[in-house]
Amino acid sequence: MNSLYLPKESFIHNLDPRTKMIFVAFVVLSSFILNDPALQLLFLVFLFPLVVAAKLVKPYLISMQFLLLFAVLIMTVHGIYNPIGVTPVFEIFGGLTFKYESMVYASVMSFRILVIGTAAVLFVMSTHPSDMASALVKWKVPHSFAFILLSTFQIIPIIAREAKIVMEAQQARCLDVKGNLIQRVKNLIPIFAPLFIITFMKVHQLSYVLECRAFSREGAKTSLRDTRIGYKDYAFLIGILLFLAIEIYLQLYLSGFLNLTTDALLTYSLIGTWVVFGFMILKFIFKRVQSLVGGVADA
Amino acid sequence: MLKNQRAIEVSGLSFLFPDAEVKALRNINFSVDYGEILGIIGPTGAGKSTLAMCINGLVPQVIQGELEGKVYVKGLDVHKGNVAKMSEHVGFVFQEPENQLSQMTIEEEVAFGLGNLGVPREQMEGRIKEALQQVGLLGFEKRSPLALSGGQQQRLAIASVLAMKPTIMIMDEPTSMLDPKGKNEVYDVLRSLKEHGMTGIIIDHEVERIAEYCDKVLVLNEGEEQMFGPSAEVFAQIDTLHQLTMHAPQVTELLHQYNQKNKQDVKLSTSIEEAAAILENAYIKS
Amino acid sequence: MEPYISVRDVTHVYSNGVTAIKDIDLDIYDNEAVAILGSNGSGKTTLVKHFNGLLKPTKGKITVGGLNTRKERISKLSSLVGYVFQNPNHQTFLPNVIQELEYGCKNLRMSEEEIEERVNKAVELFELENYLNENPFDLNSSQRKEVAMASIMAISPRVIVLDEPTTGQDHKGCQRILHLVRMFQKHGHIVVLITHDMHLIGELNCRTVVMHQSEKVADGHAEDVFADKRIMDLAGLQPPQITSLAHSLPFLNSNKTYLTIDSVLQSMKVNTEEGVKIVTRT
Repeated sequence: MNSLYLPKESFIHNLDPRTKMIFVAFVVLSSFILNDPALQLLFLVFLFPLVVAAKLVKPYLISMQFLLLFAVLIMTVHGIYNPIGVTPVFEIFGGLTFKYESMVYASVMSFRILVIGTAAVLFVMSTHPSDMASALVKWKVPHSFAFILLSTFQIIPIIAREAKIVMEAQQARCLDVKGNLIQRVKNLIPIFAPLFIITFMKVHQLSYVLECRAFSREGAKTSLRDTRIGYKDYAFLIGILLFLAIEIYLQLYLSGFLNLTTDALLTYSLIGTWVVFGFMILKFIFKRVQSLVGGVADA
Repeated sequence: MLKNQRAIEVSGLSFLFPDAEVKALRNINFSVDYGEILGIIGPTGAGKSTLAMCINGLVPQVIQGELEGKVYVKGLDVHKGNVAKMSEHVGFVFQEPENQLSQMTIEEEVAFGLGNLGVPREQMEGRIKEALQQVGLLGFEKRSPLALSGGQQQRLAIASVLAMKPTIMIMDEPTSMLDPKGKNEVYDVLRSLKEHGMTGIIIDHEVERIAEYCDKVLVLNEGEEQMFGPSAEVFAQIDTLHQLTMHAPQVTELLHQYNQKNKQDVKLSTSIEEAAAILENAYIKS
Repeated sequence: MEPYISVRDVTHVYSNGVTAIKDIDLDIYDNEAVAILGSNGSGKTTLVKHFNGLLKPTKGKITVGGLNTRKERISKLSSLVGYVFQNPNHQTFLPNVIQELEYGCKNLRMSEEEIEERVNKAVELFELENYLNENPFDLNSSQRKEVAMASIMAISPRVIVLDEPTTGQDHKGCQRILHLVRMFQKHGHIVVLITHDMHLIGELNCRTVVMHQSEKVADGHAEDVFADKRIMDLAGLQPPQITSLAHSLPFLNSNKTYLTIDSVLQSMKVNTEEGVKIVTRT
């Protein structure tokens, strides 16, 4: 596999990449308009059906684990130590007090990461990189830029593989890659110097290949993959606009009346992230033990 | 006047790299007729690749330097056009299969050149299918090029060039990075292209292959043309090859050594069958 | 005699579940040259990467010089088994040849004197006297390959592994590799060659191991392996041109496999002297 793209037959996959790019922009914008943890959480809940529609629930949850790590860190550390907090909510281990204002601040930040992360994952996993490139070209982005973007996807797995070979090649010269931190930092040179040269040579060669495939020819280019904005895209875009209108309305007129961000909500979401995080740790430990036991049985 | 029946005509070609003191190519003259395959052989650093790249204009338009002399392809002055324009006439396949890949799927890889030429989408599918068929990769369209073997990747590179419908194909050591199976795959493709009347240039160190597949051979050494002619004639000049630290196909070498040892003068053939017949004949006589 | 490298019933399964080598048994003795043949993906490289510990067996056991590779550091094993990678660009990166040669010994924390002694040996063996201050990247591809080889030899390992040494080399380069392999053997090294070059193996006429789809399918003298048409076809190998020619010459011993031009000429001479009756083909 070359990229994070997961080919599936779904409504989301069939949307034009441009629509999806607008969607990502909309989500980013929304996460700032909805400056309230409760509303953001609600927004996250509204986004989830799209993940389901894209048939990407499992890979989505896997990638969310990493973002959750940030969320746990931010919510815990900020909740306790952020100086803007004054009103205590609850206390753990005697001295450490979570304060309302800090928790709001931390939740807004963490949920924003989750919300934007959701949109980004949805976009990357449901959009073929070539489609993204050709959509960009339709937005008058220069061909060469779109190509660089696309070939980056292609070259990453190649570089990763070359890095492994270089590592082995240097180990064959008695380089100890395991060792203390200083040793490891020193090792970066014998790994990165050859890797840089090899990558440079590859890219250099590719530039000749591109010339021979008429890349620099003037005149219109065509593409095998076509992206077209259809009625589905319009419907989706109208949906986005509607949502945006509601958000602005909520924020402008109802923010004073609605007070969804209660102590309970904040506490539960904090504990919720802890619980999920705890599960992740357990799963990790379980796997470690399993491989250890397996390894012993093997030897 | 300048138009002629030759597919490739090179006259008085010299090339000097910017920082170099010695010319990489000196006064090269040769021609290739339509339907002919030319093999270029020579030691490392002889200027084989540089010469090949003069024929589609990569030298001196992309790889710059001082060029003298003329290169005509299908009657067109290569150095008045540009590489992109020449790509419709001359296809170029490089040594490293993987460095020629830039797309996510095989069909897109083949379509890439077509897209650059502005071929309408409706025509693309047919041309992709045709090209993949020629190299035996039909049915692989949706796969990732990185998942292919070296031989398959090199065939894909050939298909990507073929789709652009060039009349002339240049291959610069297309099999040197491949295993025997991959080498055979690529040479099988080459054979079928030759049967379809393709004009081509191949650079390869494997003289046995060159002798088998090429009509003419050009021998380069230190930027100078040492020999040029039908392959049988060139490989018969075995002493000259040895002086240039090169060698002829093994069967030719055997015949040559047989001659020397037994003070004979049997014909220096390059094919196994002919060599066997010659030796048998000579042996019976003795 | 104890083998220097002993591979016992070794299987290696990659983390993605692919079995790269399966139930391999192989003994390599002092002063041997062993060519490992087989198409790409047949498991050649995986097998050899076990010799210096880059890979550890999933199942089975490998000992090198009496050491169990599972328990030793790669750096230790690499001082016994020198591995020259196919592409010198993966291995060389220093600004001049002399530093390249010293590099491995420095990693092993040898004393100044010992480093100098070993480097001098390598310089002599490879005739690098005039290149010591050159940047490897200013040298041509054959020379750079030789520098990479010399930098491994400077560690003075008992075994030297050459991964496709003749790939992309011209005739002169191939002859040079042939000469070097013979030199290594003369100096008491074990040489392991991963190669597709049938001419090279023909000239060396060494022990030949053929890998096919993760398994060892042949292990014998090059003459015998090249004569086994079934194995050759299975692994997609073609013997050198001279072997095919010799096959179609009726006056040569049809039970013998000829790998070199010299051997054919030699046989023809013997036959003439003995006045062997010539059988013409019907």
